[in-house]
Amino acid sequence: MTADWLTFQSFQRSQEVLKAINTLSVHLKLQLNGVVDEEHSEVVDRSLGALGAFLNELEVAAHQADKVEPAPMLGVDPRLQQLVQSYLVARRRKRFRSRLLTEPIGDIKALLGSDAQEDQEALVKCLAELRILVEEHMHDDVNQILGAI
Amino acid sequence: MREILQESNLAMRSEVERLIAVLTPALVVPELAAYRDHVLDACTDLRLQIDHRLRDLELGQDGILPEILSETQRLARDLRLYNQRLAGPVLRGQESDRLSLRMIGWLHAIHKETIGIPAAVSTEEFGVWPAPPHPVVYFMPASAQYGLLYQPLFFHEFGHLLYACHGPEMDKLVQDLQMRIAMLLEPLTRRDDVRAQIETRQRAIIVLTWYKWAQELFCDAIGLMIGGPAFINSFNHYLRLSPRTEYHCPPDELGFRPHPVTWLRVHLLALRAHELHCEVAGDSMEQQWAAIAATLGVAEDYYGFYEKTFLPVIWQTLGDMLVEAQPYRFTQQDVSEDEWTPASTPAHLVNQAWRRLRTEPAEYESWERQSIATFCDCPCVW
Repeated sequence: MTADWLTFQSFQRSQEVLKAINTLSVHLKLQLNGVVDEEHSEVVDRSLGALGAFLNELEVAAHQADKVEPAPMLGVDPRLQQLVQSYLVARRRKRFRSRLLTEPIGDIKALLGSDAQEDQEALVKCLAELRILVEEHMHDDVNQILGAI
Repeated sequence: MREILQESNLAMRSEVERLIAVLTPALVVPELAAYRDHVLDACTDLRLQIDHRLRDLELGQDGILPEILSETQRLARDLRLYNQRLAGPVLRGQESDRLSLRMIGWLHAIHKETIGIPAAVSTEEFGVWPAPPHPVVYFMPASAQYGLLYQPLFFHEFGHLLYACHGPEMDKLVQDLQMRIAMLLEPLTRRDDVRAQIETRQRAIIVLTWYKWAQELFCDAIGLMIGGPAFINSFNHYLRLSPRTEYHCPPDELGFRPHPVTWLRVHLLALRAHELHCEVAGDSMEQQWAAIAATLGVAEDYYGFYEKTFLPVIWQTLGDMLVEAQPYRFTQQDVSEDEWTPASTPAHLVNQAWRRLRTEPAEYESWERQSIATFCDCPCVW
């Protein structure tokens, strides 16, 4: 019996997170540029909810792993563990510059609901870097499910 | 960049429309109608999202081009998913799919969390893609799909869907199990040298490996709860001639192995069979695996990935997971010698199939053909 269930779940999770990142990012960029976004507010709200839930998962798992004596991430599926490890490595190596990689995830969650222009600009930068992490992470899932040409 | 994205989105739109055009008139068996409708809805939604991206491009805002690129790539992946994997069961569907689809339809209908989740069957090694609320695709080798004997292995795969439906609660239970196994592995004394570091790493690997193992053992328990002796027989016959690594796996291949070594699964299934009063099937399976292992010259050893001291905590966790999932439990009638009728359950049918195979092997094929026809033609009473 195969273990494809985890790959498929991971693929779908990444697709949904990317959709939320892009929807919110477009919305914020247009808003910051004074352009009316035609996207329904409920779609934006759904994206905020999806991202909040994902950041919660990331925060809990990263908290387990990011210690002086790293502990194994328990009760966390192995693909999410790998994403958390990529995130922690990116933090340690200062790969990115946004607040996503320099401040606690809890602070980024606080940005999600903010109307302040400064926060929205910071959030756009965080979303761009989170998108890179997720897109890199899902590469293996895509190859397993859809194959490589 | 704008032109590239526009061209790609327009090309993708044409592909989606072509897919919709072939899916819409596709004739499917009634059991697949909900799945076909879901795939069509998803393709229609895909087209809407592409239109949205084309409208975004018309805004002339260069600042959002990275997002439109990412979205176009994401939509292209979704299109590939439907094109390559999810549309196939509709476009290549056959009348003979009805047996498996009805069996799965029953499973989904009798569990409140899965009612209304559409499902399809595809031909591959046993597996499942469970990501609710997305439709579920079950995989089964071709010859197994068209007979009754291996249908109970869907019950195991259904367990993955139940796990996903109760994800946070299940993960918490597995987390507790991992913590308790970690405690059992903890050495009595601690050293501070290179060897101790290696041992610490090995203990972490064991504990992490149990994430997937716990889910697989839970799915085995689900299979047994639903199917009773029929599940044990299917499991045993399908897997007993597996390679020797299913009896004994070298220590360096155990870490992060997706499934527990199958011999261990056999022991735990046999143990649960006693609890569910189907010990005859369980004991027989265990004896057969022992006989094959002896012939292979294999000694049982899990190299610390499983110890007898783990059993109480594993057992308690699996019990808690079953309480959380509340699966159907096979009834006395399901395992009785009463003739199966459409008023009874598919669990009864598969149990009867195994009994018929053993008691009247010469007549089995004609009986199975007739029973499948009756099963597929009867109105669903569940």
